[in-house]
Amino acid sequence: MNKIRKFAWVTMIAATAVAVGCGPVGTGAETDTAGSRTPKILSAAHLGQKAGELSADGRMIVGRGKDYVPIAEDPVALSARLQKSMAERRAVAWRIVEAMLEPQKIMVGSESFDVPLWHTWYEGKQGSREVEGKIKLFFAKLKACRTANCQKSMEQIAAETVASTDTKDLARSLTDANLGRMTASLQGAAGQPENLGRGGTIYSPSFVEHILAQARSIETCHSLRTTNTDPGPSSDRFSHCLAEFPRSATMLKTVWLPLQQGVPAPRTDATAMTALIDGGSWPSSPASQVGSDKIYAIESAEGKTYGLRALHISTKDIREWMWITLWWSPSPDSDFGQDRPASIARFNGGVWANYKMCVTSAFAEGDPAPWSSFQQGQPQLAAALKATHEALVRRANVSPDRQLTTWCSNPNVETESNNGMSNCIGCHQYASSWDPEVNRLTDYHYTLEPNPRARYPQHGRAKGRNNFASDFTWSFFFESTPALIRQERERNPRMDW
Amino acid sequence: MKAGRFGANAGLASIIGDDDRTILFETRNRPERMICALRIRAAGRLFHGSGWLAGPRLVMTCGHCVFHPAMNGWAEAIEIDPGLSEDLAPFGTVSSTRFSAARQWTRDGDKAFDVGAIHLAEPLGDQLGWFAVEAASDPRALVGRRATISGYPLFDGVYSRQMRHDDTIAGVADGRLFYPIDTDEGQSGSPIWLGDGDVAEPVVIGIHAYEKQQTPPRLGVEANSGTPITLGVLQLIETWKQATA
Repeated sequence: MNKIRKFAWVTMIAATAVAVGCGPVGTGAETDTAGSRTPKILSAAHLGQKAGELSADGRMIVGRGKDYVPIAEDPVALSARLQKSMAERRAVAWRIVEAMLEPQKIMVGSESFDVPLWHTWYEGKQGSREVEGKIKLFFAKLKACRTANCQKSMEQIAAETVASTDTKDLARSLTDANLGRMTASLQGAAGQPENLGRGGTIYSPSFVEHILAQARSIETCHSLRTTNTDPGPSSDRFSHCLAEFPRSATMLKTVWLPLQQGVPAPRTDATAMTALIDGGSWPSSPASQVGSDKIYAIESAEGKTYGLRALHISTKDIREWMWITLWWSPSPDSDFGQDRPASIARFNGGVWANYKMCVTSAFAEGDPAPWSSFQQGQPQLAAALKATHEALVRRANVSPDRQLTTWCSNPNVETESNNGMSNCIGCHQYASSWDPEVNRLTDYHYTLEPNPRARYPQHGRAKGRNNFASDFTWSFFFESTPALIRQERERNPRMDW
Repeated sequence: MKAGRFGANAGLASIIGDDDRTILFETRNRPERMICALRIRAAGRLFHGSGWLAGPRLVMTCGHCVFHPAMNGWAEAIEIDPGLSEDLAPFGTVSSTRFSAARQWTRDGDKAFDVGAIHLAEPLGDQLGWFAVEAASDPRALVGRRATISGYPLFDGVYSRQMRHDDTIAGVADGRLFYPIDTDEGQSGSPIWLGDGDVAEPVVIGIHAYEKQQTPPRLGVEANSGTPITLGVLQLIETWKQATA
């Protein structure tokens, strides 16, 4: 297959002396001082320039963190408990956040750094394409196995594929190209709505293993054309083409920003929340300069410092997933940060104490007074939740479906018009579903249209489907998971599944 | 022609369009067993490259796998795994501390002569065989021909899987071959042979060396590159083969 796109160059032979592109090895990471809270920044800047396709090893190799361990509680009971109580919902969400931050050690030169658990997992197509690599490796192993007439199941080969490498080369992640693309996709959101929602995606080992084990049926996902009213296949399956993910499955989205640009400082107090839900959109917020001691920061191979301005975390603790999002804030101890456990600050020199959080675990709000538990101890959080709830009630009252929904959106991510009143789960329900009106797969921004059609009630917040074609995962659509599987299948046309 | 799907080509230095490489787990046959993973030790660091048997005691690679400023000059020692397949080294590991490179490379850093050799004490080629090599009197004659590169790139965190891809040689400039064949870090020194991956007796016509970022912008092409086997390079190979016979 010819992949050259341009031929407008002159063939010539002129052996020109060219200096080899290999620069001096620099220093890199900042040093930590005993007793100081200034965190060390994981840096790839020490790697120096490449030397052709000769590759130096051992520079940014981190062990793959363990899989996520779900909450030890029956998922149905857990779901019901969380739907009924905002206090319990938020407490569980902070526990999950804490689990995601568990530090993994990496040695860079003679220095040790803490890398959050999530940062050691598998990057999707907007990252360094680790999931795609696993799909390629899975098919190669499957082919080798079938050629040798092995009797292993797809599940066994999937497990072997995921287990076959227990390290991650962060040098591949910490580059301007990798981090800048994520930033660019977000900045382009206002003018290019199709880009919104795309950032750097990361998946837990069990998420990736499930994709591989389900490859045969996932390949068919996009051809099913399930509409909103199609019934689900069975009581224990949301999708006709995919068994549900295991409880340890986790998907994350990171959004980075070069710190030199400043970081937006969104308001999320009661007044801002009323304006948000009534108006539908986050107002633009001014950027402020943030030091790397106040935000989770890394340094790219090119020497640019990036801060993590937002982090989505979705775990399959319950059937319809837990939907958690963190955003950086200059006033982190107010409203949505007021109940943050002190233990969150023990990671990465305390930078995680600068993030606020919201969470959804269901479409419908089951807590009649989500603010009530916080009135005494966290009054600003109570006020923000009360304002949010009251605005959602007003929304429900004028909606044909009358459903009182939950809310959770990230002011550093869901910045497009009408996206601020989202609730995560509502958007994700439409992943891989078919929209017969436009005769194509649903794109998330259909829910954001000014006058949403009946099939996207309340801008997607309310439950609008009987089935969930890809178990709420947008990666099937945005990262072309079925197409990647089909592509590998086509490379091995005679292979017996 | 590959479609430019959004998000494609992200993160990998030398993948052009989709990643079309094939992973080869069965490496006990020719030519797979004549292709070697290299672990290069120099300046207190470990580097990874690729090489290929060109004689009983000769492993060819690119010059920068044996001599490079990042190594403070010559490599100190190189471990060679022919036909490595994940944790399985079916023909064991040999080590060498004797290397050669084209003087135009060691003296001038001339990428048109980025060729090097590893001299073995053991006649590994007698057991595994070696590649035939052919020089192009005019490398421009290679343009438009299909070619294959097979080596040991960084993939899924390790350098232990042989990966292969074939495509068309797109052009010649500055004494180098340019092609849209997918490669990645660690694949420096891989053989380039004419034809696809199924050629029974491949004949090497070049040595892969550089990722697409090393392609001069003035060429206006997205391509990786390598050193062609010219008559001069072929003469060097013959000299090195005789030296280790």
